[in-house]
Amino acid sequence: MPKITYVEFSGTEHAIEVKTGLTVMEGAVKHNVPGIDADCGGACACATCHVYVDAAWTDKVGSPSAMEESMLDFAENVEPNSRLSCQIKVTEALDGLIVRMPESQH
Amino acid sequence: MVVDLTAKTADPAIYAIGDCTRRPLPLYGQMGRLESVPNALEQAKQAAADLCGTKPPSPETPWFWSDQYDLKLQIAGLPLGSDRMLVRGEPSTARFAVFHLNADDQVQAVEAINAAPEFMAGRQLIGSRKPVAPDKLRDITVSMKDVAA
Repeated sequence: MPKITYVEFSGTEHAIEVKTGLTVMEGAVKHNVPGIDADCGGACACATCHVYVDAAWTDKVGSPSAMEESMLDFAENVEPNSRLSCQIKVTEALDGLIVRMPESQH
Repeated sequence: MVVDLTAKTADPAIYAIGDCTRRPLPLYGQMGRLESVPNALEQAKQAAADLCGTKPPSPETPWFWSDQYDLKLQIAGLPLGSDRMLVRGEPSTARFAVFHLNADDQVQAVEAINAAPEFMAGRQLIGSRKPVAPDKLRDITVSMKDVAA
């Protein structure tokens, strides 16, 4: 299973094996990784699963859809490598992915 | 079940959260029931903070969503105390939003169809209580960022 490293704002790391087909958000929520709220459960409706994709992975992860982009536009502390983790599907190609969390999701 | 902002009932040993509760709605100065997932999540945070003796979470703007085939419905706030509706966008394009404003041009609620910027900016405006310029809000050539600025 692909291993994903979630880094909390405090720097605490969580290396988790996540089943392919799940989203990066679901991998965090199912393993009680704090810092990803995902209030809407993965519908791209709330922007509370915001993560920063590690620079080495932005190409592999790809770019956001128009809907995701307009949600991100209004999130806090958005950077060029910001994504909503409910919109990133876990595949074998993402084995080793590192995502960092913002200070707050609200 | 009537609860306060710590999700506590009249009996301090009993908490209640979710659709079954009538709770204070701080933004609207009244009590009400909210049948939504975000409400249950907010009240869970209130109860947990009270039980653990930690800082209570700040009140959230009520919000709702649903995906109906190719329509994404996103609703923020409640149309309480609003005295007019303003439509931004063309309903026939299936991408538009209805804003509910009060007499002071503050946004009380927004109902957005396939219109994420309107929902996100509307939710912020409901929480901030910042009045909006209705002419700008109605004009789709003015971005929601500029409307909310």
